Amino acid sequence: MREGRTDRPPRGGSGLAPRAAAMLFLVLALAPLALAALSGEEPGGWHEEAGLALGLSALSLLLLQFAHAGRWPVVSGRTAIDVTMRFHRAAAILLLAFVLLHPLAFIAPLLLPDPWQGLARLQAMAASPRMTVGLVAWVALVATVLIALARRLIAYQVWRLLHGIGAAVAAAGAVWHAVSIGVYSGFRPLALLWWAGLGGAILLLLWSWGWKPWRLAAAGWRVSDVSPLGPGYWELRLTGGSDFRFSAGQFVWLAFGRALPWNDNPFSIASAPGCGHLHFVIREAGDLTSRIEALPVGLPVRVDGPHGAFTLDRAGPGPLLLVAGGAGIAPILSIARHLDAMGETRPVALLHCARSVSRLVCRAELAEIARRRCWRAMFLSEEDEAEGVARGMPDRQRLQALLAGWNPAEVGAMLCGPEPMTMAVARMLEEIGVRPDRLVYELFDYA
Amino acid sequence: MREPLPEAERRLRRRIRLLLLAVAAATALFVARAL
Repeated sequence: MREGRTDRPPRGGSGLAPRAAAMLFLVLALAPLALAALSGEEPGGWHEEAGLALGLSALSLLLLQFAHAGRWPVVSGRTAIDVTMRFHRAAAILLLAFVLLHPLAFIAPLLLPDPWQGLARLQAMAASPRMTVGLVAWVALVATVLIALARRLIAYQVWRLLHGIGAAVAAAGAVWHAVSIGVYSGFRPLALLWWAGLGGAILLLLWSWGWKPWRLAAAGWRVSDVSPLGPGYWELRLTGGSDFRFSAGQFVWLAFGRALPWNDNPFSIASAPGCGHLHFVIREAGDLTSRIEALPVGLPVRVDGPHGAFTLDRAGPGPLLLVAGGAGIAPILSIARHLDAMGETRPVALLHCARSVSRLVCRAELAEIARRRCWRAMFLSEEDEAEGVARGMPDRQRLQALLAGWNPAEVGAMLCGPEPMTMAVARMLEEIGVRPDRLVYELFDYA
Repeated sequence: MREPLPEAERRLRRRIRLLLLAVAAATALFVARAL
């Protein structure tokens, strides 16, 4: 069996800095409009220009969506991937609005005084053979966004497949529509930009669903143990992989056995870097996590990662507060184990909350680390209490007690848990005096 | 009543909105050439 290399990567990770990624997005998103303005075409009426501008911006937004969602280290290596995914969702709403308005703008002069005549014109436009490919792209894009908005009603892997295919059909159709009948896209540099963008998007999709899973399967990770940790909580151990470096607090996407490329799920690593195996704390929540206990020992696993920016370097060098709620204990465990292994000397406080005492998974280990390293530790249960576990929720008094004697402006806080708890604790910490740029958290919602 | 968001979250949402507003503003500027 090969020993996994799980050393810590260089500080900051690889990829574009968040500010550089934002600037690059703006440059690429606005490049089609700039090229159109430079094409030498005389502007038409305002409604025609509005239709064309909406189409140009929508298509550049659509092609850039592939980069946000592609788990591409250049884009999401340093910008937290939950942030790039949230941007992806926000951009999709603007994209949908532009796509819906794109055909309506062309008929606006008719639509405003006489809606029926406007709609009849729209119907005639849609029926034209020249519009067929554009119409297919329009329907594919609108359906893809609407299905994504309703994704909780659909099985995760079905949604992922539909999302990828829908986006690819929309992108290919929209580029064809633009270069074949677009007014400005006949300008050669703009046509070349569209084809290059489409090529990049399709290559990224093929890389994500083809080459990457094939390469990951060769890494050699296998299930070595699955054992219960508490009601609805399981510990999963993987061994045998090679050349895997991560920072404490990061996560990976796992695909078990012969799972299709779009059927992987994100899990935070709970083990410390450098320990030779990967350890996960998994809460039963969806289709896959409900079957965790049935995973056979020896089953091959594709490990895509590491991802995420929930890492110690973002919390600064001052006293450290670690807050975990429910399954959010996984990355906090990784960080606590890492600090323990490194013999960290800075002051550390730990707050671990769960619905019941039995769901405070790995409490004994965390209490032992806290005792050994002289950390402050507090365990809270919503429903019951036990020795060393108080009943209740995190509140301002408890947080102040954990930070007593420390300068709040120097404290770095790392929060992982359900969104309402994370937001409430972050707000209370800011009220106490913790700086917003020293609050590190990730909000995940991939269901 | 919804609890107010922490400043850290408000900043992030503001940055996301700002980037997308820039795209919308440039699109409007392009149309303004025809006026």
